[in-house]
Amino acid sequence: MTHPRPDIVDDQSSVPSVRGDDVVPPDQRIAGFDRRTVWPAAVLVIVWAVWAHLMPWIDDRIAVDNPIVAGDVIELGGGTFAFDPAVGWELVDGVLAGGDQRSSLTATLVSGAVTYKVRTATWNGTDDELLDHTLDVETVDDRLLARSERERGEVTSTNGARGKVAFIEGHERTVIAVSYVFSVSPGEEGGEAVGLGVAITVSGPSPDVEDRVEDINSMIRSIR
Amino acid sequence: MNGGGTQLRLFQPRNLAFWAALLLLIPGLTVTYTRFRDASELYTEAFVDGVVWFSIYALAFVWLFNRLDRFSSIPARVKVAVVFVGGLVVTNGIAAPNNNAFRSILAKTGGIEFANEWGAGLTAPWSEEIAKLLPVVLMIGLAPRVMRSAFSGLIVGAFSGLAFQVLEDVAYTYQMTAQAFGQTDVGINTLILRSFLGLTHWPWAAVAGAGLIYLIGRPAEPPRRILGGAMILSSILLHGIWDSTGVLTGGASYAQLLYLPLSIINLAIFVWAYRMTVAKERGWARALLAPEVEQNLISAAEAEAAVGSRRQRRRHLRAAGHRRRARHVLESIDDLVTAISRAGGADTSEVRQARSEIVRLRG
Repeated sequence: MTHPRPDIVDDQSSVPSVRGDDVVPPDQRIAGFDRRTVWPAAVLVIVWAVWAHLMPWIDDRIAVDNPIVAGDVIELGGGTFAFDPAVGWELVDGVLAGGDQRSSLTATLVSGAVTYKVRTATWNGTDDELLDHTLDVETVDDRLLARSERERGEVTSTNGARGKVAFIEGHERTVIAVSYVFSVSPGEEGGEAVGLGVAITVSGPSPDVEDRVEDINSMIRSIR
Repeated sequence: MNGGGTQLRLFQPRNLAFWAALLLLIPGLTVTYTRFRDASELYTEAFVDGVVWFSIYALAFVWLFNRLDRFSSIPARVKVAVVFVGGLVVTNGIAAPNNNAFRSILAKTGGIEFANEWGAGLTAPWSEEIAKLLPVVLMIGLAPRVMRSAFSGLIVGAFSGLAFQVLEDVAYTYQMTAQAFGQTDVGINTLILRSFLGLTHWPWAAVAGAGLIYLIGRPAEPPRRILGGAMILSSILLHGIWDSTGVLTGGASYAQLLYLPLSIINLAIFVWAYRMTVAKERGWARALLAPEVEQNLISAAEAEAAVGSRRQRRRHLRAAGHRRRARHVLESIDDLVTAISRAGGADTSEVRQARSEIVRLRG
């Protein structure tokens, strides 16, 4: 039985052949390439260039302009925790007390090349375990070569909460990691106390971190 | 069928789309590999759970899409390539950096509060819907005969969106675990929640994929620019509403309940687009079967049922004396259509085999 060749299978003069040995009709050649494939290639490259390169490049060129002023307080978890950010640091992510923003479990501040990140979530382990986890994340995320923990010690907040602190020297940057674990008593309905962890990570080139050590120290100790 | 007689060749040195794909492939795969390596190292359990569960989950949709693509218009190799590029390259290598950068720009220029409320809704819809169209564009370049109608755009878009969705769901699973200091149970809660929110990326990308073909036109699909543009915009708009339910309702407690009607709307628009685009497929199948009807290999009623909607097929089967046999015959007619179109109208052994199957199954 012979089939007509309805438009289902023929009529392909305007699209390149996908059969045979990649022969491009002479009138469709441009430097040996198939002229008809220019626009799909151009769309792919343009979208990729804008999405993956241009937009991040523009973002890098816009400075953060959201400085902390005296009296600002950052809230975590809708007021479960708070701390006093250092004046002059730029708030990149997080919620200031007294505003009508939605609550946030994280806060990020930057000062020059130094980043100060705070995160809270439920945590039923110890502060040492939380510190171990925080250091693991830093080590893996940034591929700090040969994680060399310089020292691990205790830190006490201004209102008496005790946490753990560790310093890591990478090749290009220093990381200070801090963990606090709080036991939150159950409400009137009863139940077991819930553990809440607060993990702080400070990261930046060693001299820059050293320059800001007082700001960093006061922020770490202001958690409440 | 629309991709009849065609197959995707992976190595096409004279095709610029091939080189463009390579250019995107290398950095895209590198980013995805790095993220997955770190996630699997830090949050092994959540990562493995996410990958295994969402892979199984995706198979259900693959089965659905293959059923919709009844005459196998889109070769399996095209589908695999689309899933590969849509998942491993587009999600992490193209959409994610743009999302992060644009949201950061919004925070720097409009404030953190504005970015927290509107950032997702003003970024992801255009960023991701356009990015998910890239596999459709790539296939127009690499396999133009396959991408001949809006139906091809719909199916290829659906696969692209599904791959994107799966990669995003896996990422959410381990990211929520990360936010909970590595506690896997939080990631599993996310995994369950995301599983219920599965009518998003793939229907949006499918409708946008069909819309793109209408917008630009193809040899077998004259441009319908307003319709095509409207279809792409509908996906962007619905994505925007989906991502902004919180702020649009003023943070109301019922905001999350809106995902149910929104899912139904997403699905309804997909079904509408499917019905509109499949009509041409059915017309082609009918044309291919006409000589078979003339030769009395199959009856006109069988041909109509084979190319008809699910309801028409059901009606035909109900009327048939031997329903099981009639169903087998209809399926073998589907195979015959696939064989004829794959043979480009020639009388090949595959076509002869498909015909003899119909005779055999008729008993």
